[in-house]
Amino acid sequence: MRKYLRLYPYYVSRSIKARLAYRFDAFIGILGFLLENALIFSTMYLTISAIPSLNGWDINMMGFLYGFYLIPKSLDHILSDQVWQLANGGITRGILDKYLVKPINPLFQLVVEMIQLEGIGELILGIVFLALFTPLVTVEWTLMNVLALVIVAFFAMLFFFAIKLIFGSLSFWTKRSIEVMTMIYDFSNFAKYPIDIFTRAIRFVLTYILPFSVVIFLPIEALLKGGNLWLTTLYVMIASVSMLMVSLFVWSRGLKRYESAGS
Amino acid sequence: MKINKYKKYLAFSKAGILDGFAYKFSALGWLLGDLVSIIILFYLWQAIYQNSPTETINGMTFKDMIAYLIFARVSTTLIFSSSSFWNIGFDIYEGNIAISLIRPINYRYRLLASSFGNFLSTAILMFIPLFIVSIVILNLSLGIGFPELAHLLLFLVSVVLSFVIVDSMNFLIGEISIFTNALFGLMIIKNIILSFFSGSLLPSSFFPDWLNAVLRFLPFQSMVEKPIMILLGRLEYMDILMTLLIQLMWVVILSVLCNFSFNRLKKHVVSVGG
Repeated sequence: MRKYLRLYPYYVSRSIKARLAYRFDAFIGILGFLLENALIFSTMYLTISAIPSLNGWDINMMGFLYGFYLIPKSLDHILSDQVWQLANGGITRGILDKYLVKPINPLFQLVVEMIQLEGIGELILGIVFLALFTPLVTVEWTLMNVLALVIVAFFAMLFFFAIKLIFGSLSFWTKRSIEVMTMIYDFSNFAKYPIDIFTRAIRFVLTYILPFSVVIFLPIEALLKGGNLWLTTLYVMIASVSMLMVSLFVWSRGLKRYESAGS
Repeated sequence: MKINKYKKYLAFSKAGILDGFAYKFSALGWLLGDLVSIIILFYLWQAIYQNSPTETINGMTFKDMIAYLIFARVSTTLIFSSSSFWNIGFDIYEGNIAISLIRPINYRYRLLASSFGNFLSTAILMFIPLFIVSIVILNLSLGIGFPELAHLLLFLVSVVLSFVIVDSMNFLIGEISIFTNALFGLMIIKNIILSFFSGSLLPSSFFPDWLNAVLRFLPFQSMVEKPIMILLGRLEYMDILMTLLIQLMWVVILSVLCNFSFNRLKKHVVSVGG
């Protein structure tokens, strides 16, 4: 464990240096993700502004929710973007081989291979939205609330990572899984809206099968509508940890299969 | 002689079609992704209209809106199926562009031809099945009538023109990759700008007035919003004619721009590559 903590900053700085060799490219990437989310939010803004509120959620609350959604998503995007390479035919290209010859956990190596600066675009926008909309929503801010949100953001980040790892690891069996991975990842878009606008079947999926709404929407609802924030924080932790356990299981099964089939 | 001139481009279209078919399973995968966003759209707009104090929002009823958004989503797949952005991007990245210059073919038209192949394979694999399913589902679930034949045909003409406009934009933006290797980032910027301003995400009646005033002088609305309005029968025949003429004007303007900028780029390639 200590070894990994010592190695991590080393890998990170190496990766950032590599990316910054092409500064303009990094800038374009950051700008791309910033612009994408800004225009998607503009679409939402123009839509919701046409009505008084969406099932009791006015545009300020929706903006706050959108801003919060971007935080764990962008952190995961920055820290573990390399997982997408598994799904994108990386396993057939043999990207794992170089990890397997080193005496370091292959999953650790995969994750630290790249720091994706593009995600900073989303992170900036998330912070901007939170800064813009926090004064416009009515919340009683206490230290405990803030602490709960930080914990939620951390576990939600792990949740995004776990989802990516599960569906990226499918490639051990299917060679390529980026389409299904993208589709599942896109389910996170549901979490940007109040869950009660969806039909019962979709609500069930978003709560128990791909609990994106549990890790993003429910805590913010509890915060803005005066629910029990710590109870939802507990739900977030349960959802994230179980998803993480599933993902590690799928990953290690896949890796075993890879080791025995390859070389 | 004249036939020969077009024939050499036809080969590239054929290759484009085959390319499209090679990735048919991917296409199916992306189709599922589209489905997720269509489901979100449907429930979101249902809730929006339930929460609205009036029956119409910005002049559109719930049925109008759903028909618009679903047809826009389905048609966007076809209209944005151009491959020129990636083709020019990779040619610049890998240095193939220098080889392309010695071929006795106009590079811009070659890319357009191979994009057109992609257009046809997308039409067959994705657009036609999705379009038919959409019409049937919209009819059965919301009682939205079938489009009139005349509107459908004019819509198709308009879509082809839209496609050429989008392809030219892709080509122009793809040329930027001579300054940066960040093709993925450029693609994201391009896609979101085209989707948002073309009305693919939201009809322009929702935009603020100042934005619409600016957009009137830009090619974006000719890309998605106008063809869909033709299909839904919301334009008079005079307006349709006007729309097609404006589209044609953009095809010409952008085509000139493409050739002009590519000639400039060629000099740049020669000076750095030799």
